[in-house]
Amino acid sequence: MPEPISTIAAIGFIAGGTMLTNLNRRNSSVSDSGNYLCAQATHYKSYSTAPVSLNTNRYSALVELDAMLEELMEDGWDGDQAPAITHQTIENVQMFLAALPADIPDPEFAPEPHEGAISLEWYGGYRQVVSVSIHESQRLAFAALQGTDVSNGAYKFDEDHIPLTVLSSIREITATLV
Amino acid sequence: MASEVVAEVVAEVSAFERLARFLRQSSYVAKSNGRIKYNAFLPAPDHDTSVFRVDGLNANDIETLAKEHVKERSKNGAAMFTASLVNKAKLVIQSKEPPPRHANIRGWSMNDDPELKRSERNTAAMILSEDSKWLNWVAA
Repeated sequence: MPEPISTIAAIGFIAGGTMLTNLNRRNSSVSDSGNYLCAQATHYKSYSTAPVSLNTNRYSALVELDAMLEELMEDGWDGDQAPAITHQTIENVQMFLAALPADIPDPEFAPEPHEGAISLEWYGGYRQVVSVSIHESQRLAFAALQGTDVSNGAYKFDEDHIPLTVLSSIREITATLV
Repeated sequence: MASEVVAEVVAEVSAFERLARFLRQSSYVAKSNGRIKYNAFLPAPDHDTSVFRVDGLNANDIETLAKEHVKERSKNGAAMFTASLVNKAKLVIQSKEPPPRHANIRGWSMNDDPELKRSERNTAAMILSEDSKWLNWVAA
């Protein structure tokens, strides 16, 4: 189901957007604030014309996640010393899933024994894998293997914005399956 | 029996040896294609990755080895790989007995930044997993 958007918010958004678009069209400002507003208008315009889907259904992924979590809510789930997966970690994973654009396929999930993180993984062809490891913090641990190349890094995740580097890698790697 | 052949390995692990990592989680095997996920190779906190050296053993012997020496949850089979991958991942392998045929993969990232540490460990584990094969007890 598409997410509901309040009518008032929608009207405000459209009205504000129209104003900003018009501002962008006839920019003759010379002041800093004028240029700032113009930049905002350009920014808005690039978003308002991009195709967006609000119908991102991650139901199957959430079911998979739930099934896996049953075994992981206690310390030592790996038969050794792995800490239990915490509710904050699960919440962060759900938030990340909700922020994934619709064109990205559902990930596979697996637990990580150190620190009790959960990894979301996408597989492509041979030696094509990318993962995002999520823990309690608002930072993502990113890792990718593309042929003989490896890349990794840590990125901030602010609830509704997944870093472009991460999204690009997922798209590149899942495209190798075609 | 595996226990009859277990003692016949030399101390140093050669690059061509076959290794087995026993799987304790069903989610370590990708449902879509049977690939071993890299998470299967990650060590527990402050630990090394425990593996067994299985040159000269058949599938039944390897399963017996798991039943005899792995504490629990090894019902999901094993990831089979060669020791040369450990070097490729810039890790090291050292024989560590007992139990017989046991070895540890060491040298995992100890980065102070927790997210960078995870991402560096994950890329090393990906190198191990991508050329691993799943030995499934049920199918063997």
